[in-house]
Amino acid sequence: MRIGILGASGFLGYDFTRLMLGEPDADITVIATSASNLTNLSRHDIPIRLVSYRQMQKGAFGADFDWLVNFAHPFQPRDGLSQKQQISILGDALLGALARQANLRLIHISTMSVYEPFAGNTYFAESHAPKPPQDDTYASSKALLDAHLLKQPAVAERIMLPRPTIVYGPFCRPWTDGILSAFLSGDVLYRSLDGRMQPLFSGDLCHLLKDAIQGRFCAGPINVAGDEEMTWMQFLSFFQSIANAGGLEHYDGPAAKEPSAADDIRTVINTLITEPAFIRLAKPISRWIPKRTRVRKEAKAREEIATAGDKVGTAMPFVKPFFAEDRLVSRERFTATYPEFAFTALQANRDLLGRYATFRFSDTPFGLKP
Amino acid sequence: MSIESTLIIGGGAIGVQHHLPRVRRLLGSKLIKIYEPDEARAEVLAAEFRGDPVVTVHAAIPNEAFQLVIVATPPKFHAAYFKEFAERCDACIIEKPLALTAAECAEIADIARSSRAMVFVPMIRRALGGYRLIAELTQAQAFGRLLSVAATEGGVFSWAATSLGSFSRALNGGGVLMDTGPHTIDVLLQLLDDLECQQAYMDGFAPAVEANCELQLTTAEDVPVTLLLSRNRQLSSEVELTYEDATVTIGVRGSLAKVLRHDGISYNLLPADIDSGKDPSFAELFDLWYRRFVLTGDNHGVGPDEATKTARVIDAAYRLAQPIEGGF
Repeated sequence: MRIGILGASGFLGYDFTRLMLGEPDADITVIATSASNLTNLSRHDIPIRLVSYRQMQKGAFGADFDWLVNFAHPFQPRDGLSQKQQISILGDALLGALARQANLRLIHISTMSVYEPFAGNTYFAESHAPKPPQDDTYASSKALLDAHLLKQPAVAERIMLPRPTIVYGPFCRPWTDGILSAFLSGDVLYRSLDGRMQPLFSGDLCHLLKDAIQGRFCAGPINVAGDEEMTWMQFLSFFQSIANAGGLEHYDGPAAKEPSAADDIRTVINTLITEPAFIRLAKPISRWIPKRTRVRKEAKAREEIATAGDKVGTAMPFVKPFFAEDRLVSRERFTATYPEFAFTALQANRDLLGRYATFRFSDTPFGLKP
Repeated sequence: MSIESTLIIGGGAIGVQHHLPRVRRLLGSKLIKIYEPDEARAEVLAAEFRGDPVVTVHAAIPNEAFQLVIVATPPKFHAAYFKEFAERCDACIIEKPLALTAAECAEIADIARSSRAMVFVPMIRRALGGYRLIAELTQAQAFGRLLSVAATEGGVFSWAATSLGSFSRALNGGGVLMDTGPHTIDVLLQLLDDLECQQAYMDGFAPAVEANCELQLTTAEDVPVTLLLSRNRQLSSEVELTYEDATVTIGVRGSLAKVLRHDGISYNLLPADIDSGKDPSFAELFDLWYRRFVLTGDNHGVGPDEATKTARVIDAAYRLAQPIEGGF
């Protein structure tokens, strides 16, 4: 069984790849769109094809696989292509591969975020037409790719779109590293953590995908939610107990500042002034800019470049309204399709996540005896 | 050192984003050729530098002489390119690690001794004064006898790699031990003179590469030294030296040393030639290294012999490597 995995450098893609490496009949090839994040994958003997979006545009893969599993999603402009252009290229490449090879099946990892905006006490089913707000770039771009993939009825029966909920597990930046590092840095502020969610362990999702490949394929969108429903307060408290540091402090101060258009312009300018092409263009007029301004900008740009990679996870704005809102999906289709699928309870992952926290955030040796 | 013409071999991130601006800005080179054998990458670079009066991009290797040649390819190709240009340049910067093995490094060092080119290896932390200061204080037994050393360097890999080079055993020779390793081991060698590898643990083996590496080393005086390197862990990235009378901690990219005397008194040590205790950014450190060594034409401490010493430790570590159990 020849399996091409896109986006295997991300935490979920890597988990799945590692799981499938243990399957004797799985012949894995990783298709990477960038060489910048292959740390975990490169520890294994797996063929890696570097295929840029430009190359993908020319139809670079498909014919040599029985399965394509896509975890990839473009988040920012790259190779001179906008996010929208990359989504279109990726969607066309996947559809093109399905069109070229009649036996090929695609599992495309979608997200529950396509149901944004959620509503209190409402369980969103797969039949709910995704229409996330345009200013929610993540949700709207994921919905765009879903729609792109489902537009051709001729191949729709060969596409499975799992829509996982809040996924946590080793190397997950937002919902594991971000939370652990927030507690390890000190107290975590919150306004309301009353929103309910259905956390999903990354290992469970990967086992489901493996099952799908091994005969339990289910065409179309399918919500994948863990079978525990809890508040963010319960979820964060669990991670606080793993980190064994920091506290949860209620916060009544002013709301966190949302990025404004001025911030976006500032970001564009800050990006632009570090581009060699811009520097060359600007050189002839640079003598008109006060020297102090030039020096300050250069120093700031350098500092940003130098420190950009040192941040694990993202700053977790736990005071945001996001954590007060319910984000729930219907499990009906899932339980009807996979009635015997067993999920791992959050508490059952305590030891694993504890070891992971030690691995990720401390100097404890794992080979040498302390 | 005044540089008129430069050849950069390898159009990856280190050559184009880090060496090129410094060759232009700090050395004032009037002609810079980039040789990039990958045609697709060469095309991208040619578009980026179109109209640039100084920089041109070439998919075939130029055959003229240059004042400065920078070898910024994966280490597999370093020795071959150096041999090709050793008599066709005045100075040659060869990226770290100098070569895939200590034997190749020694060969480069031998050729460099009898060739026209002065070789620089960008061990950029040699531009920092803190390690020299601690080495001198250790020598003078200012804190009593040195008892042990623990060093770590790790963060989530964030290099803007443009090829699979950093993740290829064939091209890079290994993983974290071949990219971060030479810098950290060089810091230890500045502090401790000589190191021998006793034990090594890793989480990736040929044909794969390691993201984590744990070494047990000893100094010539039998002082135990542990070193943890990682591409996927957030390690403290510090060197901690424990003496009879004090513990001294210094960042692996810094100059400020914190001294905690065992009688409870603590203070900071900062070399007089450093303005602030803040660790310099990668870009600032690269500038410092160019100014301190390349611009002055002095490769003392950053030549091929020092790089060979580092490579010997790395060679031994790969020979002794055992698998890490229980990591992620």
